[in-house]
Amino acid sequence: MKNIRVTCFIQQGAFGDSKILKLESVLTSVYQGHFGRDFKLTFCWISIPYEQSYIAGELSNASTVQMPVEDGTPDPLRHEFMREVCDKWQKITHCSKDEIILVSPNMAKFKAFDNKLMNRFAKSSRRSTKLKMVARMLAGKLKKGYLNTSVNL
Amino acid sequence: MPLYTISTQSSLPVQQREQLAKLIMDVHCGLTGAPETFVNVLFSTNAPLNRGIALNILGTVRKGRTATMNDELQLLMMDKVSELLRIPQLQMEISLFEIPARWIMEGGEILPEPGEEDDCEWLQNGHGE
Repeated sequence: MKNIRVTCFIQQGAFGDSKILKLESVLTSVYQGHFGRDFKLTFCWISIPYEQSYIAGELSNASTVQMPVEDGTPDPLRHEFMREVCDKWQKITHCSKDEIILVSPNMAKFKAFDNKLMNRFAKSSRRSTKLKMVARMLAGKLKKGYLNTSVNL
Repeated sequence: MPLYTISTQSSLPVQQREQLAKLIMDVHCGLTGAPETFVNVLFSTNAPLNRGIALNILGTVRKGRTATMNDELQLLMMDKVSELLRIPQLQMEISLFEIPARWIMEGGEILPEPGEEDDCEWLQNGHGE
């Protein structure tokens, strides 16, 4: 079983808990449908408080979803998968096509980006910050049934 | 994309966030020619940044521009943001992370490569408007 971490940046309070759990279930099926049942998806929901995200200089309602795929996945397969993810996301959340930004990088690139994000922090704080984020995610799961935290650390 | 993540130790006032979001869009689009509708800016606070650093800018951008243009983008961004927020450049960090456009979907479509926006039918037909 290969574990895939999916990161979803969503506007705080935009979707109810049941909608988020449905997204997890449906998007897992979509992923497994395209790439096989060997993959287990772990979703991390990062909420963005009001007035902390902008598109084209204006307040944004968009969600940004990062769903990595295996290195070397051919573009036609990747794109077909991405289209289905966006379709399903819109159907479940009732958002417009402009309110979902999907990034499906190769796994290696996704890990490199994760490192880049962590490298923003002082070297001495990286470990404790990571632990803090994990603890918050787990506390969020106990409370709501899914891993979640805020974009504010 | 681009997605600029602005990390600070303490929260910036709303007015400054708005000004910064517009400034980043103007600088990015002015230099690269990218459409404004692509420019996302996200603010993250309470970040334990490096000692002496007040603000970190991480720009996730489409791959395909020259190293010279990316360098120029970072220098200009640093200059303009420092001027707007009155933060010395020594207290700021900026870096770019490149991702192939064909791995990104916005408006239900795969993004065009940098410089190919004019040939992109869905973009010319009013994406995000």
